Amino acid sequence: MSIPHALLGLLESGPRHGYDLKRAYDERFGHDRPLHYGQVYSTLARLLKNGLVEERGIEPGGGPERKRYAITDAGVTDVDSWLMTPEKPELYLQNTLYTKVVLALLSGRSAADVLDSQRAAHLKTMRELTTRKRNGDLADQLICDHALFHLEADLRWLEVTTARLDELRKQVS
Amino acid sequence: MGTGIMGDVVLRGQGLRKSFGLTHALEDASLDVVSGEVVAVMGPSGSGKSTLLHCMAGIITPDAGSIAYKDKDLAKMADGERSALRRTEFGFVFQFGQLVPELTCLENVALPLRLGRTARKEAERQATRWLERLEVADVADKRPGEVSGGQGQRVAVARALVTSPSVVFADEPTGALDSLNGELVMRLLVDAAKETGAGVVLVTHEARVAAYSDREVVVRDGRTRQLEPA
Amino acid sequence: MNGWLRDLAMGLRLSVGGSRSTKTGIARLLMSTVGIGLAVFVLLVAVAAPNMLHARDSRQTGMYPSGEKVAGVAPTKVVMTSTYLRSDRIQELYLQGTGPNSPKPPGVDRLPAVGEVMVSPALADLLAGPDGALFAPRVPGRVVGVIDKSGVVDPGEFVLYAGANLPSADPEDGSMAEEVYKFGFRTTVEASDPRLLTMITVGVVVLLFPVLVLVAVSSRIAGAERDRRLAALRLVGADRRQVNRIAAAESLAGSGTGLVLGIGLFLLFRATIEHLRMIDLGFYTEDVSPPWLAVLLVILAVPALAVGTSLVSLRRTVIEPLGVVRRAPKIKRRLWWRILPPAAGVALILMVGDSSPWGLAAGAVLLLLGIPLLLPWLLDRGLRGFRGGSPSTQLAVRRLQLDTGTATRVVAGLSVVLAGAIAIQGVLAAEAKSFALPEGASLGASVPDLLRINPDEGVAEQAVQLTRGVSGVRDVAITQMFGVQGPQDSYYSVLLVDCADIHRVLAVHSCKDGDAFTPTGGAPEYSGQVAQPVDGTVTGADHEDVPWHVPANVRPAPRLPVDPNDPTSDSYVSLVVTPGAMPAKRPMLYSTVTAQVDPASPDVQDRVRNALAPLQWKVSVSRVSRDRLSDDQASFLVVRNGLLGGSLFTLLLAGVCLLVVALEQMRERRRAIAALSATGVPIRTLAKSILIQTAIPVAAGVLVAVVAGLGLSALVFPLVREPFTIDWGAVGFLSGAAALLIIAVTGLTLPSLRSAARLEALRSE
Ligand SMILES: Nc1ncnc2c1ncn2[C@@H]1O[C@H](COP(=O)(O)OP(=O)(O)OP(=O)(O)O)[C@@H](O)[C@H]1O
Ligand SMILES: [Mg+2]
Repeated sequence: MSIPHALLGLLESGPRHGYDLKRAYDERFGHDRPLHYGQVYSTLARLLKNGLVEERGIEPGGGPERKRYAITDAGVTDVDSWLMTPEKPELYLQNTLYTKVVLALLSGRSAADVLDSQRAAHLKTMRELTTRKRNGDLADQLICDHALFHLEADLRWLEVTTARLDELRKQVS
Repeated sequence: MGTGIMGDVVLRGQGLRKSFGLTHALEDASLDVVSGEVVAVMGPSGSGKSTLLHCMAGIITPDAGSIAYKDKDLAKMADGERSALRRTEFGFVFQFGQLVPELTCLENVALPLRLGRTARKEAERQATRWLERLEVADVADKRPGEVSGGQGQRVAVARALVTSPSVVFADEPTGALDSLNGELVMRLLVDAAKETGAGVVLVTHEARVAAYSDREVVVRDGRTRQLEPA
Repeated sequence: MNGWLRDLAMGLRLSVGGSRSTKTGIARLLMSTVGIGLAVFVLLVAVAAPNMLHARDSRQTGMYPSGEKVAGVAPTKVVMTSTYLRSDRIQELYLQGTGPNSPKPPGVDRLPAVGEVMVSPALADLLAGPDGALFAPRVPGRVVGVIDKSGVVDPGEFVLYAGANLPSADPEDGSMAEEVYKFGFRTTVEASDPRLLTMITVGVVVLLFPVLVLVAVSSRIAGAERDRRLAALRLVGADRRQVNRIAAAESLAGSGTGLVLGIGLFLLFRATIEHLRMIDLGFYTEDVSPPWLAVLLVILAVPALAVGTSLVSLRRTVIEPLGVVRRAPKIKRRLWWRILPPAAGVALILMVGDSSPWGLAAGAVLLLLGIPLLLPWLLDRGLRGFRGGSPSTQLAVRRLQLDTGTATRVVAGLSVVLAGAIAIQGVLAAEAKSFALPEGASLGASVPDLLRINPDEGVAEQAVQLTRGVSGVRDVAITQMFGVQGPQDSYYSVLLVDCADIHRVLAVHSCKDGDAFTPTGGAPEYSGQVAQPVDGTVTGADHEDVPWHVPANVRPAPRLPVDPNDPTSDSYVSLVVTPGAMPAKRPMLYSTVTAQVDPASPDVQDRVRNALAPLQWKVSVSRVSRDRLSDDQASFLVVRNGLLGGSLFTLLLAGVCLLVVALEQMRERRRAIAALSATGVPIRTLAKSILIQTAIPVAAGVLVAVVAGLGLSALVFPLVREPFTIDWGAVGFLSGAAALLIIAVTGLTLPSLRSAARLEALRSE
């Protein structure tokens, strides 16, 4: 998640104060991790330096929290190109789990048990997410779904690995 | 998960074995169905999930083992007795094609009640209630061929629940649906089952669908395995 | 063009190997082959029929003797008689030429001389066969030749020409011989009996209709499977027109094999027709030569019909790449145009029926054709809005509401047949009354126990002697009668009886020679018609008329109840005289010799005929039997049994079609049935729904058929001046058969239902 781009995007609907910006961000994207004020202001400073935002009329009283920020044309172009540039698909190897499975096989422990307990844990989380999803609003549902689909993918990996444990055992030993 | 009332074991299958010729579909399978609880049955394709479900529901008889339902052993019942039991105590949802094509959706839902000698008016009144409950009241007068897959499955769920069964058997109920429709069907099925206190046996290979369950049982090579989270 | 051919070839290939299993593919091909084969066969026979009848007609008229004098021709003297060998009739012609150019009957190149005999091929075979010995004594001479086809109307007919010395042929003196100047004459075709024509037309329609239905249905066999297959073709890129062509080619394949079968059946029919005998008609193979144009038309029309119906049925389903999607919304059936043909039919019968036989026939056909039009509407109407009933009723009715089409079409065909059969039955039942068919009459042969022998004048005594000598003959009696010509063309019969025999006829206490009696009472049907004996003239034995005075001492005497053994019982005897009361000059006497025979004695009848053979044409023998059916009655029974058999056959045909439809539906619903049965629905409920589903259209069809059939005969009866009768026996018989059919169809679908209800169907395809 690119915080500078998110803030820039929020500014596109109109100039805002710093604390305003933080609130808007938290409301929409900050479910798991709200922004610190410091983070907001350091980001805004960097954007200012790069000419992507500008300051608009300082209200009396002074202090950074009194400033209103507005997006510049360069800023709009930057949001544009960010939105249109695809994210690099993350290659996310089940590093730890894979290590666990191989170690279990090498040491003669039950790799299936390792995988099954992981599977149970995964499903437990999925149940919790499902419950949260069913009681939450649309934003909750979408976010939970995102997590659920990822967990489901993990679970598939667990299933496939369980099915191919015998093969794996031959290879590592 | 903890919502709803979880009660006693209503249906208990123990040590079930079943072979089809040389194929050992079930080697040693056990399953408890608790009222008000959804148990997911998962496992690779061909592992014996459907066979387990069919045994538990009394559609087929196991070669060995027992299936206790209210002090009776389904495995020892005559065919007619099992049919009557399925008609009155169990509900079924399959992957597709279970609705009678020439009856309207409403009549399909009313059918189990009518077979139980409920008068038509009353049966259709209850069926309408269930269609409303599953948010498909608008297709009541259409034939199954004229509704979408998701609507059809919800009609099927309504038909499974209309007799207030103590156990609902669902074999890949969302198998032919997209994830959105599948989850809608699951949500409605689970809510309705909880409300009536029915136990649900849910065979599926989709983890997200299984996540609607309270408990999971994995079948591998005809053997069941209860998973406890670490 | 190339693409066309490719599509057609593809369809042809799919028609055999296309089904999921070759078994259903072959069954499908077989059904349409049989259906179309039968259609082609029946149509070819229908097309050939006019020529057949014409050929036979001209043979028949070619035999008619003409007594009209032809200048310069010396006539041939002819006596026509007949005899029986067991129950086979043998036509005998005694011939004597009077000059070198005397005409000869057809089929021979010269007249037989005295002592010579010519026989038809069938009779020649009979003489050569095991029964020859029984007939040989009656052959009046040496067989010198075989009569050619032109002289034998029906191939199996027994004909015998014999040369003989015949008496002079004077029509005035009652001689049996006639003078013939020419054999064969043209008759102008008489307008046929309207009743006969109606019966024949209705019969043809009744015969053709189920065949047409069969053609239509056979193209729908395994329709759902075909649709799925075509959908798969759409998926890989066939467009709608290509799919149509492929479907057309598929039904063409069935038509092709059907054509071959039909033509084969027809050729077989043609080859064996000389051995077949339809009622009283026989034909030679050469007679069966339909006009080529008509044959061509049949050969083209039947496949066209099959392809047409398959394309029309395809139009109702929209075949999309992803399968057969929603059927087009159901069209509402309208009544007004469906009522037109039967209404026109009734109007036609009422207005022109009694003046034009063709109008009557056309009206009957229109009325019958109204059935397939009205039945779907009636069913639709009757089932519309139906919701209640038990679950099995609901399942059945809903299924019918969704698609009454195929089942109704089948049943409509059945209905037409039944209606036609019931109508014809009605007419036949009226006939049966006029034939006075005894209760429970059957075609079993019965042995005569009484023979009546009519000898010519002068050979009566000889006939009695010859008959007495035959073993198995119990009692031989002779009665003699003469006719009296009274004033003003009145005529009555006088019976001559010895006093010794008078007790057989009259209840009298005393009788002496010279007595005369007027019979009174006795058989009520005669007593009123007996003319009072009055003076008149009688024809003497020498052909001279002599006056006759009624004896003065005539006494009334009660006549004895009619005894079937009594040969006089069916004569209007006005006077019974003893020999002493006879006129002075002997009148010409008509003698009847009655021989009582032992029914258990084998072939006694033939032995009597053989014994009488020396008398040749001078004696004729007929059978009198209390329980034997007359020839008319027998042929009536043949027609009736044939009709019932035909109805049963079409009923069976309809049953096969219904079965196909039911099995087809079962296959389409396999999953739903399996799911229902998993849910605990008993098979009984499902079977009951199939029973109801079959029963409703069949019951409706039978009902409509009974109404239409009785209606038709009610309309036709007044025109043919018969009292309206309902053959309830036939109606009951046909309805009962229909009920059996329903049960049989349901029973036959049960195994398939059981297999569908098994778990296998639950497992996805
Ligand atoms: N009626 C039958 N006849 C023969 N073999 C059968 C029958 N039913 C099941 N089997 C076999 O038994 C085994 C288990 O089948 P089952 O249908 O229970 O598997 P499943 O776990 O439901 O698989 P899936 O996830 O693919 O539905 C398979 O090997 C299958 O081939
Ligand atoms: Mg399965």
